[in-house]
Amino acid sequence: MNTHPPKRPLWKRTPSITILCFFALLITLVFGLCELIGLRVYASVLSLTWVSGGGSHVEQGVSLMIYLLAYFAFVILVPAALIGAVLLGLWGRVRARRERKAELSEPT
Amino acid sequence: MNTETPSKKRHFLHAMLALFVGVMLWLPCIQCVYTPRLSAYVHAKKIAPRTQKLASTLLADWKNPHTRKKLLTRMRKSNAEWDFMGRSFLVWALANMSLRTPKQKDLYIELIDSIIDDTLTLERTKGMAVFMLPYVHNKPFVMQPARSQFLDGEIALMMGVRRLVREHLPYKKEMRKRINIMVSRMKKSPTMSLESYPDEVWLFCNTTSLAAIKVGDALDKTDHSVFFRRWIQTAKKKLIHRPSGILISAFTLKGRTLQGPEGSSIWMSIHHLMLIDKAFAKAQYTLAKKQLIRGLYGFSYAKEWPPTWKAASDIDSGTIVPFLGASASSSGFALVASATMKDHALLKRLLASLQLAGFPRETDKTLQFLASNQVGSAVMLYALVQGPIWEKVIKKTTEKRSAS
Repeated sequence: MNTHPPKRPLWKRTPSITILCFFALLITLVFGLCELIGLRVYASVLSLTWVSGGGSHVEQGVSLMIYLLAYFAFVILVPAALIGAVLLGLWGRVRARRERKAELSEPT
Repeated sequence: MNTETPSKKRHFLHAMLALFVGVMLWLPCIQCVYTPRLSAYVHAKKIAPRTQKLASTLLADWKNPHTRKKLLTRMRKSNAEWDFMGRSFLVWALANMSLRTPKQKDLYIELIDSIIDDTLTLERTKGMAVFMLPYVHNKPFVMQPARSQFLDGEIALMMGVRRLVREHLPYKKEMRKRINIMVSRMKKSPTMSLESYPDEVWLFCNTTSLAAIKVGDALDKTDHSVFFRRWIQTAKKKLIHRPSGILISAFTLKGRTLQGPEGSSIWMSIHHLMLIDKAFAKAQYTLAKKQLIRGLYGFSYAKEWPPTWKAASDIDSGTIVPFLGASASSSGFALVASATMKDHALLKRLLASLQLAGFPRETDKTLQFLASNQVGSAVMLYALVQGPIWEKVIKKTTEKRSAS
C-alpha cells in the first residue's frame, strides 16, 4: 500500500524555481516580441544613423532603448535565471536528503 | 492567510538571491558564446570567411545605385563626412583585398575606380563642402587658398593605394599634384599640419596625408624622409598632451589645443604613423591602449578620452555608453590599430564586443552589423584586411633606400 501523501504540483513544491522560470519565460517572450515587430533595425541609431520612415528621433531612441533592454535582459538574465533555478533545485535536493537523514537518525 | 505572505516573500527572496548568484556565474561565461574564432575574421594572406561576407555585403550595397543612395542619404543626414570616409575606407580595403586575392583584382579595381571617379566628380562640381559639416562655412580658412587636408589626404591615399595595385596615369598626375600642394603648405605651417576646417587642424587628416606622401615615395621617384623626421619632431614638441603622453586630436594652425587625445583620432593615426616612424607609433599604441582600452569579462572596448582629458561627446565619438564610457567610434578604430599591431588578444576581445553589441545579421553570403552604418562597416572591413598595402609600401621604400 502506498503510504506517501499525494504529490503537490511542481510549481507549488518549488515556488522559487517557478518564479525564476516564469521570469526567464517572460523576458524571452518580451524579447521575441521585440524581434517580431522589428525593433532590431533601430540598432543603427547606435551609430547615429536614423531609420528612414522610422518616426521622430525621440521615437527611434525610445524604440532602441526598449530593444536594448530586452536584448541584454535576454542575453544576461535568462541564462542567469535558469542557472539560479538549477542551483535552487540542487539545494532543495541536498536539503531534503539532509532532512531525511536527520529523521532517520532520530530515536523513535 | 497570514502565514502565506511571509512564505511568498521568502520564496521571492530565494529566487532573487539565486538570480544574483546566477548572474555572477553567467557573466564570466558570456564570452564563450560571443568570442569568435580569430580565423573567422583574420587571415595572414587571404580573406577570412566572415570578412569576405562583410565585404560582399558592402560591395553589393555600393554596386546597387538604389541601395547606395539610400544608405548614403541616411548617413549624410547625420554627417556628410561619413559619406566621404565610407568611400575612402572602402577603397583602402579593396586595394588590400586585391593583393590578398589577385584573381579578384580586376573586379576590385573597377570598383575602386568608380568610387574615386564619383568622389572627384562630386568634389569638382559641388566643391569640397559637399563632404563636410556645415560649419565649414562659418569662417575663412587661415591658410589661403582654402583647401581641406581632410579631402586632400584621403583622396591622395585612395589614388596611391589604387596605383600600388596597378598603375593608373591620370591618378598619378592628380595624386602628385595633391601631394606637392600638401607638402609645400605643410612646410609653411607652424605645426607642419594643415587645416581640415577653418583654423581647425585634425591629427587624423594629417597622418592620413603623411601616409599618402609615403605611398607616393614608394611609387614615384621622391623621398620625403627628412620631411617626415621634421614632422615627427614637431609633433613630439607641440602636439603631445603631456599628462597622457598621447597626441592631441585637433588644434589651431598655430598649435593651440582644441581637442585633447581622442580614441576616434589616435587609433587611425597610429595605423598611419606605422609607415612614418614605427617606434613612435608603437609607443603611442602602448600609451593609448593603457589609457583607452577597458575590459570586462573577456570583452574589450575603447573609450573616447583618457582619464586625464574630459570633453563633451561630438559626432566623431559616436554613441558613448553611459558609466562604461565605451565609444562606438573609438572601438571601431581600435580594431584597425590592434590589427595593425598584430595585437591578436585585443583584436579578439574587440571582436567579441562587436558580436555582442554590434547586432550581427549573418546569412550564407552576407554579414552586416545592424548597430553600424556604411562607414562603420567599411572601417571594420579595412581593419580586417589591412596589411598587404602597408607591407608593400615599406618593402618598396626600403628597397629604394638600399639601392640609393
